[in-house]
Amino acid sequence: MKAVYSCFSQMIQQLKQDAMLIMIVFVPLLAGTFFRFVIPFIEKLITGYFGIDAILAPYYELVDLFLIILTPSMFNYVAAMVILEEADDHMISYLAVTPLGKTGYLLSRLGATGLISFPASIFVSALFHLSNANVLMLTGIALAGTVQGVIIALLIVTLSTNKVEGMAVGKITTLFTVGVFAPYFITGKMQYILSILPSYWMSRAIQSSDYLALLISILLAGLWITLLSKKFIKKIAC
Amino acid sequence: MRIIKLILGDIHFQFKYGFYFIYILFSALYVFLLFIFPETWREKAVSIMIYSDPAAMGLFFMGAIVLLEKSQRVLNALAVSPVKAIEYVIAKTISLMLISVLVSLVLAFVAGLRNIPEVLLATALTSMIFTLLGLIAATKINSLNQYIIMTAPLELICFIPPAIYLFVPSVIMQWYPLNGSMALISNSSRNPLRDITMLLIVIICLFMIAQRATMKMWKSLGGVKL
Repeated sequence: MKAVYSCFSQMIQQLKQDAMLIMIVFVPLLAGTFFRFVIPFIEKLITGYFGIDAILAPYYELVDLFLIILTPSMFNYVAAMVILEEADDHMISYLAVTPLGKTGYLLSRLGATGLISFPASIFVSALFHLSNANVLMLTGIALAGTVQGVIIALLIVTLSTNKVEGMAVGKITTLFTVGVFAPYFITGKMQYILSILPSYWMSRAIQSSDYLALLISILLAGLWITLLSKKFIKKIAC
Repeated sequence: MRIIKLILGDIHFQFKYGFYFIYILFSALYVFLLFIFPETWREKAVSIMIYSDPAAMGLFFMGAIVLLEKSQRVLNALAVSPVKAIEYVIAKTISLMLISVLVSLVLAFVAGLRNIPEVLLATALTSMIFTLLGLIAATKINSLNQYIIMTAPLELICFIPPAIYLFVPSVIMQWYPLNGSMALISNSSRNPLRDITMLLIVIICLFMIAQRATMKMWKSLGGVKL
């Protein structure tokens, strides 16, 4: 555990040097301010422009969902970029043969990031949420969002072999959140096509306060993490 | 010709690292979204899509491209070859512009836009601006996180005013060059010739800055100033 903590501290030092640490603290707050105040303002503008009563307001739960997902996604994206740099510099192979080990390395980069992003996500959603979703649901979504953030980071580092591929995969992983649209915009059984994505179940959970959907989302995300972690550890071994 | 070979080399690089695959995937997603949006939204939605993604891809990817070239010692090889910095900048700009224009052609066609030539021209010019901005930022960084930090304010400056201008086209804001780009894409330009001229002036200035920045980067490769 000491090795994991030490490795995590080293990552924090690195982020501090790049000023990324400040960015990590401020961006969720800026985004939250935007979501809380600018989106209702845009709603006012576009309802006036199109002459309709409500355009975005029926989707405020969806907006909250995006806000909650944003913080862990960003934290884990930064961690993924650090892993990509270390992979390019062959640092991971060296770290893997220290007492830290491969699992310890993964825990220091993504596990610890997840532990921090969970309360941060709850904090941001508590401050800036727009919908009437209750605290328990928002906390549950924050947990599911945190686990999904780890999946996105794992996808980036597992499926890419260098920085450029990492950025490309990073762009593709944005599709991982496409599931949130399904319960709102795809009617009938067609929406189940996206049920392989935890984001689909998160969206269903917040849409109809369905705690079972929330549980499915977390379990499904856990399954993704198990599969991807194994693949990543195997990749480090090569 | 050397420049053609550089462009082809960059296209090959972008193909190898999946840029074309990604944009086929994202084009399909955008087309799907365009179909599910109400028809009244379609023109505005496609303008935002074209401006914020295919046109802006250079700003997103350039940091990783330059860092990978640094770590693979490609830049070291180029620095001692007869290739000039301006040729390197042109090759990057043209190769990424090609993807931007192809994707915007698909989106404009699907959305049924009537001003396709204007959209393609605006996308090409905007893509050049974003690629040059990305390149200028990328010459000054050592890590991807540094690049993300450096480009974040650029993104705010480049995306927010055109997004506002699309819905609130105030007279004063039309003088911001990137608003001209958004106006050309969304077929709402009050004076297309003026907007194109403004974009060209910005491109020329950015080309000069990018060339100098690339020269400086090449001279300091390997940690030693040449």
